[in-house]
Parts: sequence; C-alpha cells; structure tokens
Amino acid sequence: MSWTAVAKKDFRDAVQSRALWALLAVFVVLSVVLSYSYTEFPTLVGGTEQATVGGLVFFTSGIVSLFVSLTAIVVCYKAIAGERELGSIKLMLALPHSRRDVFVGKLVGRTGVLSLALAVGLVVGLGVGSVLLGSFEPVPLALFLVATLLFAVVYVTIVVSISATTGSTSRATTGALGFFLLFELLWDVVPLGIVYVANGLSLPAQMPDWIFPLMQLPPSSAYVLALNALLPDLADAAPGGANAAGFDAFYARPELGFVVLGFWLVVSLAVGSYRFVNADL
Amino acid sequence: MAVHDRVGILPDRYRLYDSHTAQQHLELVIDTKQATDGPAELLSRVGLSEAIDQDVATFSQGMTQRLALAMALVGDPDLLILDEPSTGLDPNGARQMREIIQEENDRGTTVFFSSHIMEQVEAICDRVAIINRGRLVAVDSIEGLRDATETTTTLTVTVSGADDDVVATVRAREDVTSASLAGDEFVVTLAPEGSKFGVLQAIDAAGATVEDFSLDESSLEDLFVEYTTPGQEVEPGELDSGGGDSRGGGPETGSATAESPEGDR
Repeated sequence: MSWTAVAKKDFRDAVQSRALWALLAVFVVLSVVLSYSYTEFPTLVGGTEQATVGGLVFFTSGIVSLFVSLTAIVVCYKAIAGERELGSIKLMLALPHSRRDVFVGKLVGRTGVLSLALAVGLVVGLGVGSVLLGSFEPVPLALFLVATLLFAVVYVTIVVSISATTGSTSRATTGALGFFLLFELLWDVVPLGIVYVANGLSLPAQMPDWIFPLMQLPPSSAYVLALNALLPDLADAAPGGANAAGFDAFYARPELGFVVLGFWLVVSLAVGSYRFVNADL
Repeated sequence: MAVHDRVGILPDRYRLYDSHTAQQHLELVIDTKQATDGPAELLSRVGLSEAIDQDVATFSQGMTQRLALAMALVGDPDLLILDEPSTGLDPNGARQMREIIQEENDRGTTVFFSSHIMEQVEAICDRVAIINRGRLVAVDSIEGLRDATETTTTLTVTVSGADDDVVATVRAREDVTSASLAGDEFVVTLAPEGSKFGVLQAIDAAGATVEDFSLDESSLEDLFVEYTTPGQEVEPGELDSGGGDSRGGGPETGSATAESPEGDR
C-alpha cells in the first residue's frame, strides 16, 4: 500500500505549490461564467428559447471537456517524465516503493488534484446556474458531475501514462499534445479519411455504419456520449445533446461512451505501467 | 518490499525535491519506512543541523549529499548501499562520511558502496570488487587481491656494516626474489607470502645493523590498474583463494565496489 505515500506527497506538493488553488480558481470561474452566460443568453449559446437544466448540462459539458483535457495535460505531463529527467525519481525508488507504487501513486495524486478542483468548480457553477434557472434538479446534476469526474480520471490516466513512457519532458509534452491534436482536434477527418481510402479514394453517398464507433474514439466524444446514456431525457430535449447514430446496431448506443472511456483507461494504464516498470532508469 | 524496508540507499545522480526543506525530505522517508527517527538527530549526525528548515534548492552539492546520506540512514537499515558517497564532499565531509560508515558497520550494518577514490576504499573496506567495462573482474579482500596479482612488496632497509655476505644470506632466503645493496640502502623484494620481519632478523643475524626501514606495498590503486589494464587481467581462477572466507556468520563488515571509470554503467 505504499502508493498511498506517493499519492499523498504528490497531492501535498500540488497544494504547497499552489497549483491546486490555481486550478480551483480556473474551474470555479469557468463554471460560473458558463452557467451565467447560458441562463442569460440561452438562445445565443444554447440554441433554445427557454433555458433548461438539460441545456445547461450539455452546454457546460462541451466546454468543460476541452478545459479538462487541457488542464490534465498541463498538470500531468511532467508527473513521471519530469521526475525522471531531474533524477528525483531515484530518491523515490530508493525508498521501499515499487515502480508500480510510484506509477499508481502519481496517478492517484494528480487525479485527486484535478478532480477536486473540477468538482468544486462544477458544484459552484451548477449551483449558480440552478439559482439563475430557478429550478434545482439534483439527480441529473449529480450524474453530470460523476460523468465529468470519470472523464477527468480517464484524461489524467492518459497523460500520466504518456509521461510514464519517457524520461524526457519534451518528449512527454510532444506525446501529450500529439494525443490532443490527433484525437481532439483532427479526429473528425480521420474516420473520413479511412472511409475515403476504403471506398477506393472516393466518398460514398452514405457513410458506413462502422464510422460511428470510430467517431466516438476521442475521449471527449465518448464523454458526451456517456452523458447521453446517463441523462437520456435531457439529451433528447437539449439540442446538441442528442448524439444518436441514426441507425440500429448493437454498438449504436450511447452506452458505447462508457466502453470507449474504459478502453482508454485500460490501454493507457497497461502501456504506461509496462513502459515504466521495464524502463532503464 | 520487506527487504527494501531494511535497506538504506544513497543513489547516484539523483535530485532532491526543490522547494522542500531538509526536514520535509527526512519526514517523507520516515513516513514511508514507518521509522521513529527524528529528523533533527539524523541531520546532526551528518553535520547539517543548521539547515533543517532550509529549502534544498539552496543546498550545495556537499549539503545535498549529506542530506541524502541522512535519508539513507533512516530506520537503522541492516544494509546500506551507497553509490559514490563522497561525491561533492570536502575532505572533512569525506572523513565524516567514512566515520558514519564505520559507525554503522560497528552496529552490525553491512555497508556496500562504490567509489573511484581508492584511498577511501582501502581505508574502510573488508572486501573489494573491481568492475571493468561492466564486468566483475575481482572480488576479494585487499590482501587477497595483493596475493592474487602477485605484486611484490619492496623493503628498503638502511643498514650499516653490511657486506656481500649479508646480501648473499638474504638473497638465499626462499621468500626473497631479489636483494641489492647500494651504499647503505639495502633493497629487498619479497614474494607475496614473504616475511618482512624474517628478512630484518636475517640481516641482523648476518652481522649488519638495521638503522631504519620502509615498506612499499602495492596500493589498491596499483591493484586496480593491474586488474583493469588490458593484457594484464588476472585469471579469475586465481581469485578463488580466500574469496569466501570473510562471509562467515554475523554481520558482514562492509564491502565495496571500485569501479573502473570506463566501465559502462
């Protein structure tokens, strides 16, 4: 259980270096601003005449997912690569910690920092939103919070794992930003490209069904899909919320979001811990 | 991990955690090992008491090394592994390091350290291993290494009243490989097992007077060169003699690895 000592130290360092407070401020301000602008201008930012809780949740989720992924990169890219580059990892491993303890401890510590800041930010922001809306719906808001925290855990795991694969922070930065670039910014065209090539260098009139799960591969898409699974009623009512595939297949369901998030969690844990445990430090 | 709890390690090329104090570093180790040591006491052992609340980012290399040693000492380990412990230490610090190693050893701790500083190794180690280009070329006590390399001991005796007969008598001894007289300087080289005292007595018995003498034994440095210079490597078979004798019961009394600079690590 010595990963707890690593996690505790990691968390305490974030508190001491004020990184936690900075994150907290970012999420509180962001969340409050989002709630305010949605309830104030539902037509402009949400696309509906009437502001609803569902609209607030899906509006918030779109922007929060971007912030969570970016802050996860900033907070975590140096988690292990940074200590390896400096050499402080040697002091850590001179103690009775296995490498797996260090990996898990770092993961838990950084998750704690990011999710605490995120949770406080969302609670404050959604609280303000509920007051402005004049209606308080605890269940959907709680489910939204849970899904967003799950998304944060997945992103932290991805970035810490990328950090665990290398002993150089510049490579860790490249890896984390490359991941973000490929999966969050450019991914829309990747499945299209695959279809284009598979179809003999031309786009078919109708997209094949398998493009749907491929489209959901980015963690943020999977997160929105998972939200649809958790809050089907709100998703149907909120424009931009519904993410239905528009056809029948066993995988064309919003629950696919959880599968994809689980996929990222398992794959990055496996790759990160394997690379770190077997690295020549 | 159970083993790891009883080992103290001073790694090589490490970095302390900037913006943490010496006390915080020690507390981290104490918490992890669930030890009962006090940070202040540990720091006074390594001569760093005044720096207890100082940010390690401001530490000199020697202070860093002292703190790292204090961290290795937490929990009174049964085995201390020190990688180049005297890096960055001034002569006083190096001596303090040596004294601490000896203290720990006296308390029954096995100390294993690597060093390029032969005098240090020679001063404290019971057993020495030499690594050349990543290969272990010798493990033995310093005495054993001397024997195995067949390096000779040169005895220089200042004599009065010596003549050719005295030289002949000494040269006739089985443990003497050569003897020559130049003025009153009588230079005798001894075989590895030779008795210095026997030679001195023989000179005396042959009628000459021993005024003074000096001994030139091969230092660990010579032995190291002997073991790591290509073409002069000693056959491993010769090292078996006496290799295991100090591994008897009870705590081992310290051992060291002297590493060849060109060894790939």
